[in-house]
Amino acid sequence: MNQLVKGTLELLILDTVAEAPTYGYRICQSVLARSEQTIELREGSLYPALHKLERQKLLKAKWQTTAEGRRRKYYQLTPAGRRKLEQKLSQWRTFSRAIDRTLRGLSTAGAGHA
Amino acid sequence: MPEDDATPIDLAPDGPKPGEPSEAHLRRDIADELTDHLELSAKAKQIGGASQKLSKEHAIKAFGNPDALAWRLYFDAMKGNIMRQNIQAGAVTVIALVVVLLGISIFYTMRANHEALLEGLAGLQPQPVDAPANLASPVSMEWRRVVIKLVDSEGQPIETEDYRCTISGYLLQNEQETHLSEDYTPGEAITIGPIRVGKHEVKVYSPNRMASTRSDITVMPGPYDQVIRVACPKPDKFSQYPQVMLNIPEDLALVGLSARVKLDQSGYGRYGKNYWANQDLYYLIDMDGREQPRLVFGGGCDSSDGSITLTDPKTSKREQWEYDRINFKPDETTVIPFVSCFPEQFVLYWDVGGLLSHFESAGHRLTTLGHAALNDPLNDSSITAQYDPATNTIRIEGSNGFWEAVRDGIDPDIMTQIRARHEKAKVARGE
Repeated sequence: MNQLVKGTLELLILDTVAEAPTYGYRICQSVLARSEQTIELREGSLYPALHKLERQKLLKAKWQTTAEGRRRKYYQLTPAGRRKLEQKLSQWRTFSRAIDRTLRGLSTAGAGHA
Repeated sequence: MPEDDATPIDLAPDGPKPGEPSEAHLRRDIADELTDHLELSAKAKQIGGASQKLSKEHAIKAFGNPDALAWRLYFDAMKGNIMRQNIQAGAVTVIALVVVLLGISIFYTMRANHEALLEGLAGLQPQPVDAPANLASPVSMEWRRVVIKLVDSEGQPIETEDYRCTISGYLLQNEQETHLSEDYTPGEAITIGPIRVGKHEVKVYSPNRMASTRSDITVMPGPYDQVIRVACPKPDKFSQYPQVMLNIPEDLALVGLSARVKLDQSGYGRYGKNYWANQDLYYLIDMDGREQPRLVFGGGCDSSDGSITLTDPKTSKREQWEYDRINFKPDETTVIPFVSCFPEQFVLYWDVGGLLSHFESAGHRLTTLGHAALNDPLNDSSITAQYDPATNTIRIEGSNGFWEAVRDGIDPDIMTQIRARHEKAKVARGE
């Protein structure tokens, strides 16, 4: 599953951040909940990806202070990030449909031989 | 140790604070972001029922290696900065060259561009960071100071003295491989180096020389001192300096006994700041003239057995009494009352033909018996004096080495010495 997630990590992050400005821990929780506990983002992958997207100006970061006095880094989508998200979504849907069709085809062929 | 630990997680306790410029700021930001994640994760686990301390431990464990991730983020960001600087430097130089060397062939233009890029790269040597005064500025990217913090198995700072830490590596001063060694003071950290970045081995010796080794230390390039935490095993029970206290009666100090204490042991011993290995320890206690009735000795022994030998220096035979039943109790001082060492009453005599005293070990009493009517003691080969309070007389029986010493003329000055000591004691007592 981890290998599958790798290719879609940026898409998952951009899509999650697109809902509302949010921070690293919340992104993990949100993906976990929306995937019905299937996709668990590892911190070791999440933060490098977040920072990379920030450097690419697809995300913009803003610091806020929490009630406990801690600094928290919120990420939000930039216009470039939104365009990138739409592009990646489109690519994913195309790819997903292709895979889906391929797998169904294999399954049907297998049944025919039997 | 309290179960709940309300101390906030801080991945960069010694690092720069928010608002500081450049790389310092970057490091602080990374640390704050990861710390926030860890705190939230720990909080979630705590809601699930775990204690604060446990939830933090679990959060850190689930996270993986926060330090490594922080470094990765830091270097990724720095790499980005370097790339940007490269591009800027290159662009400026190219424009300048184009203006000045207009008309020169594309070949020369590219060559010049290449040289300028190299120049730009050379300018990327680490620059001093505008850091707080308490942080060391970098020597270079190849050398770094390390700060070693000793913690116990629960991550708490070691509070015992006499730990010693060595790290193997190349030292900046001479670039020779060496073992750098520093003593540890409780509550503080050991700062070593600068040493060359790369793999190193850290050894920590407990007070009883039990070693703990971490060979997976990687000193990484970075602008500030690298903090390394080394978990040390608790010292074994004997490293808590088991001690024996010989409770010497005050009066006995006047008598002039000397004692030799032997600790049988097979491992390491400690006396003061010194260590001995694999040998017995001897302590010579000269009680003569001392006004210290309680002597403490021993410590750090692997042995639980020992003996004390007392010697009466006044007799020609150097009469000795041996007590060989010392039993160390780990982690505490074993007090040996003098009486229990030598339960049998023994009598020490001094002075000749005049004031006779004796010391009764059973009651710790030094009694002046009075003037002994000892006639021609030098010719008496077998003398023991016994005081009879009923008649206030002294009966002479048995033998006594002192009389023999006097008789044989072995130490003619001994009477003078004893008299002088006795007079001094009287003055001290105000008599």
